Amino acid sequence: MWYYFIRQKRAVTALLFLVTLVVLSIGNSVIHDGEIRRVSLLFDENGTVSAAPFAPSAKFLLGTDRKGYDLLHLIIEGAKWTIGAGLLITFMRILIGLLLGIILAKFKKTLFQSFESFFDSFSVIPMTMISYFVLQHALTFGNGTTPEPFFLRVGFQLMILIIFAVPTITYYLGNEMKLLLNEEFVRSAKILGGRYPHLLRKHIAPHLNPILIILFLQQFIQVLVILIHLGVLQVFFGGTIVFYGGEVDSVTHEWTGLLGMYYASFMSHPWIPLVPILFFTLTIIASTFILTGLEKAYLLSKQKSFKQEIKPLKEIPSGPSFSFVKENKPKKLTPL
Amino acid sequence: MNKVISGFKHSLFTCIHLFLSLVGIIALGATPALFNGLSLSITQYFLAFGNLVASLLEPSTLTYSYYKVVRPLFPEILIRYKESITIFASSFIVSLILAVLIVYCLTCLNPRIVNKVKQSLVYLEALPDILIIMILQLSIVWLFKNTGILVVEVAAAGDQKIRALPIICLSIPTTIMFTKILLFLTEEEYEKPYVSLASGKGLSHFTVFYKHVLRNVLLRFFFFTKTNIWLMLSNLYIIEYFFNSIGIFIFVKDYNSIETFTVALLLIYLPIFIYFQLFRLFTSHLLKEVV
Repeated sequence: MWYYFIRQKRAVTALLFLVTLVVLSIGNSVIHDGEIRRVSLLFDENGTVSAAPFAPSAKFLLGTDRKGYDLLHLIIEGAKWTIGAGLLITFMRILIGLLLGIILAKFKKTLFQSFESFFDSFSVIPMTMISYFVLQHALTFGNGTTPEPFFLRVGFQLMILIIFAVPTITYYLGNEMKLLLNEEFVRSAKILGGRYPHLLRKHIAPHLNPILIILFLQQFIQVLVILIHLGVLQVFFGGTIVFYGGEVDSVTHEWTGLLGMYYASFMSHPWIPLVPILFFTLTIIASTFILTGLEKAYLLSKQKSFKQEIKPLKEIPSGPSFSFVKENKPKKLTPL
Repeated sequence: MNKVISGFKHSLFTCIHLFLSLVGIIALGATPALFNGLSLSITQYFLAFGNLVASLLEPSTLTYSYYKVVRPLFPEILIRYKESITIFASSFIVSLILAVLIVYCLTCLNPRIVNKVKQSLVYLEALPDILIIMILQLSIVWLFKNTGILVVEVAAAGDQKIRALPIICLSIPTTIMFTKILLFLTEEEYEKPYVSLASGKGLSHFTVFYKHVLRNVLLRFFFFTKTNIWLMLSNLYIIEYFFNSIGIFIFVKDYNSIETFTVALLLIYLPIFIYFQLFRLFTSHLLKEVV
């Protein structure tokens, strides 16, 4: 499968892009201890002073924010939080949803339907609304007050963002598995004595894997969009510090913080919120590339393994096509 | 007799479904009580749940408060609700019409171009809605600065209503999404034999599309439209916030209490539930052939 994946240039480029971002980001916190280049005042040749924010230029590739922090550096520092959180949330959502879906697929029809209707509202009501409503008080705190520990806050946010999406995914996967379980080949495997784990592994999984890849992509985009929305609503990943006078700051330097802090002033300094959004878009497009690549590679590898089993003959054997294995001497028929 | 029994059974199921989803919504609305800061308290959750049910049974007692000024919830939230629905419905209709037009144009074109369009739709879908909103706002302001023409109102202040730009902003991602889905469904539909028969009989391309394909496609589209509604609503939430329009989402955001939140959830959920039930009721005989 990896053999086919490496051959797709777009997917590999996209993967490299994301990996570089995250590696640089982790490297920044390890080597520079999370320090970010900051220039709050600049003098030009005539000696006139200009203050931050600076527009994108050769010196600051993406410009700086109002406190003079280099935006490119900020983006790199924040990448590990945003991309990491996105991947973790997506992965956990699908893992929990899959496990519950496996159980749900065995439920009887009435129980299945009542599960669906109980969680029906989840498929209609926007996630942003629910998660904002729950997270808002837990994650914003005033400057100077002692908030809950960082890891608790992050854990809480991760949990909320995971839990509220699980019912929909569970229902979707459970339904998909239920349909597969009713297929003829699964039924015949069952009659031949296959137990549920065997059926899952050998008969359901090959059909479910492509669905899971697509689901992963959809969920990843969804998580990023929710993070953006929460950022605009000033609930940042890892917590929001509210200063006296209503100014806000993000605890970690993740991307949504930049958005939330500066979107109000984007008419005057449009590059500050546009940079994180641009990176969000790039991340989403990169993940689209990677996952379409994965899907293609998965299908190709399946075809390959199928092809290997029926090897075509390389050379046609010469000589007589048939030969007697053992020459039987004609038996003499003994008269009865 | 059999028909009566099955009809009765169906309505019973619908009632059970409705009841369970209402319980689900109330349980969802009460979740903030579950978290006291960052710790769990289950007893408080059940208390809040009970209180919520009690207060929902008497809607006239519901209130919302803002800086200790307490006002009754009911006429106010409905006014806000109407505003949200106006924006939602008009952009739904606009996007649907646009998407159908785009798909019709695409069916006339070379399939190679259609493939290219499909690929670009994937990228367009990846654009976050906020990017679209920002670019729109920026370009309108830029246009205003350079030419002095204010095409549409950019943001609302006070009680002023702003509709045009939110509708446009909501319509752009929605149109992209609808086009993608309709294109997929239409292509599937064009492979069916009745289309070949219709065009073989000499019907024009437009007639085949409008009289045969479109009807079947739209039926399926409306049947699977739940995810679209969900995506549109979450975009609407952020659009209302951006344009400071006085919709229900902003109402809930500003005056957030458990009661307001739950009432808003009910108001959003119920019409969609009724829509799907009615749709199923009236088209169940058709859907058997289509789905």
